[in-house]
Amino acid sequence: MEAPTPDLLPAFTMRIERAAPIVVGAIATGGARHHVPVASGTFEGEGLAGNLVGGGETLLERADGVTVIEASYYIAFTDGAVARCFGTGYRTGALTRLSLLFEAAEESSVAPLATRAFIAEQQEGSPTMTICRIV
Amino acid sequence: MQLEFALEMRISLGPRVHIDLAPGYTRGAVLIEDGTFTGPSLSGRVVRGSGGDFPMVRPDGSGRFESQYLLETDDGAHILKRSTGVRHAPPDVVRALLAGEQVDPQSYYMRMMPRFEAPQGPYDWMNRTLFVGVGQRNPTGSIFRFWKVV
Repeated sequence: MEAPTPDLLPAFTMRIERAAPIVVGAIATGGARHHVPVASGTFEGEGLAGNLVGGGETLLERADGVTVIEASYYIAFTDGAVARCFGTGYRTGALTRLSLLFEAAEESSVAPLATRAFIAEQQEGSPTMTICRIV
Repeated sequence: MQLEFALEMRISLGPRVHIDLAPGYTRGAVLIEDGTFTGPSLSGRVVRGSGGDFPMVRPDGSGRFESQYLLETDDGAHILKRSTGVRHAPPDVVRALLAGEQVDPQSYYMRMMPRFEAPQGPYDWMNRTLFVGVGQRNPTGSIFRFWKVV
């Protein structure tokens, strides 16, 4: 009995409008800390649609030139359900990649999102982040 | 984005501890007794006593995993592995898994998203790479396979 071989299937696109960064600066434990609040945005795919209503990306520009990102996006769907999409990842050069999970109210229409794991990618200059389902 | 095979880990598990947090919600603690890993660009063993897997199991048996332990490569490098994962399965499959029975690994969804902290040198690509893992729980241990996102 062999475990499945995983794959990444494009599932959602998220358009994030970012507000001005909050700059902490160089910190004692190494690197430079910033926070970029989510101003607004959209989320759609797999028959779901919603708006970004909060969240942010907390960045640590590490000494090795890689930026570590802790992201949290609050999505209000058209039927009123709300989910939190969250995770961590890296920005190397012009490429951002995140591993993401969801939290949602158990009785809501989007509760199944919390049972799967996702990988996201955004190129600098692209307006959208592509979120792939790990199958 | 594509996935490229990176490593396979085989782990034997020590005693399992349960913390009953609230009705139906349990934090497990499973310390890793021994383990090895092999892949195209690294191989070695899990450092004994360096950590384990800490599943948070919900009333329906699904859950989230947090794990943390140290790897030691065959050439002596130490790499910290921390991981978040998710498991979802039908209730009868979860019951069989928790009872330690042999379960078809195709019958449940168990995926991990590990992060590594490796020293500067031949393994530092792991510090900027995302990974996808697939878990297989067997009665005497686990097999985790990891792919890097390229």
